[in-house]
Amino acid sequence: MQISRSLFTATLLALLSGFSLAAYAADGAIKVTSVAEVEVATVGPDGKKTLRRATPEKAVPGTEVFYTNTFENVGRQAASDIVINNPIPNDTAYKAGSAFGKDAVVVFSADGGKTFDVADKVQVKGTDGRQRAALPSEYTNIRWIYKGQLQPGKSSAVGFHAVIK
Amino acid sequence: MSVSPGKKLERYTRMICGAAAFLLLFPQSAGAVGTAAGTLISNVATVSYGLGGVAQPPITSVAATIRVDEVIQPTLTWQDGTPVIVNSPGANGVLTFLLTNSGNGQEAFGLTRINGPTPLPAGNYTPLNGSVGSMYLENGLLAGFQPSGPNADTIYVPGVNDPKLTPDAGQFVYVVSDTPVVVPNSRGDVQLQAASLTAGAAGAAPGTSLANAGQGGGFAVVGRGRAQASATGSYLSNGLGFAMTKTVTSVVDPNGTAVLMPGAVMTYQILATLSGAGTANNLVINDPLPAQVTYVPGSIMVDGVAKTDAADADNAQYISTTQTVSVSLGNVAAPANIVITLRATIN
Repeated sequence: MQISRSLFTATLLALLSGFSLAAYAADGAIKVTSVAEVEVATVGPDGKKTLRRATPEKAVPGTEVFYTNTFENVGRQAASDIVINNPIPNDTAYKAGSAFGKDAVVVFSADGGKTFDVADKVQVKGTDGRQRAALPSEYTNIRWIYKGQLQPGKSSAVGFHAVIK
Repeated sequence: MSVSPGKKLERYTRMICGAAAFLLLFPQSAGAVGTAAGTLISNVATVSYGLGGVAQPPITSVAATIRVDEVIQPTLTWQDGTPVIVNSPGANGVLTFLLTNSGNGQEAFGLTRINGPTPLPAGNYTPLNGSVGSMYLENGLLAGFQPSGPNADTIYVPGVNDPKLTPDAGQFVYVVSDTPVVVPNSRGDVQLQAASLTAGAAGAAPGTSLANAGQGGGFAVVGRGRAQASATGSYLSNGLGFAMTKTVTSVVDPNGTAVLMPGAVMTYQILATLSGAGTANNLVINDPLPAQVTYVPGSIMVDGVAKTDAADADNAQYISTTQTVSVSLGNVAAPANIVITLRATIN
């Protein structure tokens, strides 16, 4: 009894320390940031229209939001097996074909992250209970599987667009 | 139970994703207008990786959060569809409008009525504010306008009880008007205008973004209708236009020609026209024939249907004592045309 309790406590501690590691990105060898932006058109003095990314000031339903996740190796060792998981944000729909990521394979899930597949093979359970091809707007999660290693001091970015419902 | 490092990592990631998903559960409306203003949309990325072949605890980004801004977009529609018939002079004719909040945040709207909006079409009259009050708000107790009684609707007082509507919600507005003395069958229009009460919104260019003015603390964004809406409803003054013409459509004399001479038979046509709006009750058309002619028995036709001369079930008769053809048409709704023909011989 005594032994099992101390074992339980140890497990709990391990879990808690694990959580604290996860909460503070700087503690790991990889630093990850996520940025949400919108595209704003500005017309310059020459009459030319330029698009720039900006913090949303008109994030109304229908607005396309540009999400960029940047990950950087802040450690001293090359990082391998890098996988970036990103649930599609609440109240948004993934915009078809918008996921990008250099040197990365992009897979999607339409079942809350249980199963993943490449874009045209994602399945979802229809109202009749049968599996069918999922619409991009039905995606629930995106995952990037980074090919190769990320050397110390190097960074890369992945991202996607989602439309506010 | 043994768990491989890889599996452990997977479970770990899932736990964190689960925690993040929980944080994202935010009140939201599922209406046609889209995500409710003030909703926070958060994006969290989690990176798992390995160092020297050893899986490391995954790293989760700080959530990138945006707040959904409020679109201000009222819509206003006139509900009656066809002009509301009013007496002239008359009091308290009611036009029904529906104000809908087509934006995604709670919004208050001020209402204004414009009597006889310009340009005033020729022949139109200008309605007057109703003597019981110019605008009422449906209070939801009983559909339709009730100025008094237990289900009395609420008189609208600008600045006091401006309708404040949640997204997709609607408010019926009654515009009540008196009618001056006008020509029968003339039209009177009232335009109802609704304008957002968010400072700087109404009339601003679509897309104008107002900081801190949106519901939930975000921006208020002026919708395509400039944060205002209007709709025009119409009245039609009651009153029937009644016109009757009597013509001789043919003359046949005993020689087979068309000479007006004793013995010639004339065909008369009476055309009665009801115009405007309303109903003529118990309409009776009498045609006393002049003494110089004699009625041709059995010659009455009403709208192409032959009628007997007797005072019987059919609606036409010839009264010999007064030498009068009489047609009883009952209640006739305007607009209508009635054609009566009869024949008479010149004495």
